[in-house]
Amino acid sequence: MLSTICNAVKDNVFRHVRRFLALLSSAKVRSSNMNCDVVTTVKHDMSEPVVEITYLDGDKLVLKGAKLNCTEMVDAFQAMCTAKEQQAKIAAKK
Amino acid sequence: MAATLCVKLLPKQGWLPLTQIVRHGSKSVTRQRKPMHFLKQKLMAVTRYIPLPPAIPPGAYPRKIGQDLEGTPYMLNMKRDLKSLFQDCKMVAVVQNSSSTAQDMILLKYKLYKHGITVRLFTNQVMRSFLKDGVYSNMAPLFVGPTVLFVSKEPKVKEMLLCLKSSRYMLLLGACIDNTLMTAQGVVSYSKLPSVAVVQGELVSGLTMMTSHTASMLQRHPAHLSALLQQYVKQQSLDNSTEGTPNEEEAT
Repeated sequence: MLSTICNAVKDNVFRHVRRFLALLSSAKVRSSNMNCDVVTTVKHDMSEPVVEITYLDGDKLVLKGAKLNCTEMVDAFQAMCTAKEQQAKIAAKK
Repeated sequence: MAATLCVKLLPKQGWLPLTQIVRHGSKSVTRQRKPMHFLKQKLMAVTRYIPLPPAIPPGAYPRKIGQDLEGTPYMLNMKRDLKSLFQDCKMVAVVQNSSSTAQDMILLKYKLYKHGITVRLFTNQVMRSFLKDGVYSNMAPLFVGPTVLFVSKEPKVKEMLLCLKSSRYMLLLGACIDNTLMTAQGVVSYSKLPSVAVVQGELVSGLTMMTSHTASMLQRHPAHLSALLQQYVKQQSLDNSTEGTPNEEEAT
């Protein structure tokens, strides 16, 4: 479950989050996991843009758009996902 | 295929064949390229196009990324277009389409066109350069990433919101309706407003209620009126006295 808080007004801080959103909403990415909901809230209250990713086992990955680049966000997300997959594989083997 | 059809099993001796081939012996494609006369071949070879060698070798200079489009006719055309758009259309909404497929876009455009809303696409560079000079400069931060404009002459906000709800990946960022910039939440609350006629009716009814009250009171018996006025005077004097005593207490 992916929720993005996208801020429309603050000094170009939000553009990486928007790019991240655009990347993740492409048809290929969407089709790779149909169970994943992408919920976006557009806020105009000068707050920091944040991407919160909630995994099935309850873990949360919070990506702060103010401090991160788009590619860094994608890398962090992918790293987390591969780590989870490996854990799941190990658990399944047992 | 004709050859294979020829050799089909006849059902029984003496019966007519199931398939009868009409075309024999000639090819289906009859337009072949005529062999060029030798003289013509020589002429073509002699007058072959030889491109000039490039003055600058291909890898010598770095490519011009982010060309300055400011004074170009393209930019001027686009700006003129945008200006007329902003003048004609009462509603200009900015929507981020993270990734709709062509099919989704077609369906969305069709749904919106039924309500008179057109979908326009302008590059962010053009939009930003247009907006920074004009009145709508505060819209500039909205145009980052893959954006699309929904424009319409009449502000049909409810219908637009319905269409956007059905498409999953279109995100309303903001809008400029009747020359007022609105946030996404603002647009939603605008859509919930009743129409002008309804609001006017409510206002008029509220005002006339007061006057009708007074009119009905005046029509009643004057003794009733005088009793009411006396009661009112009493209440006023009570209030005054209660105000007076706390003041005295504060003073002392």
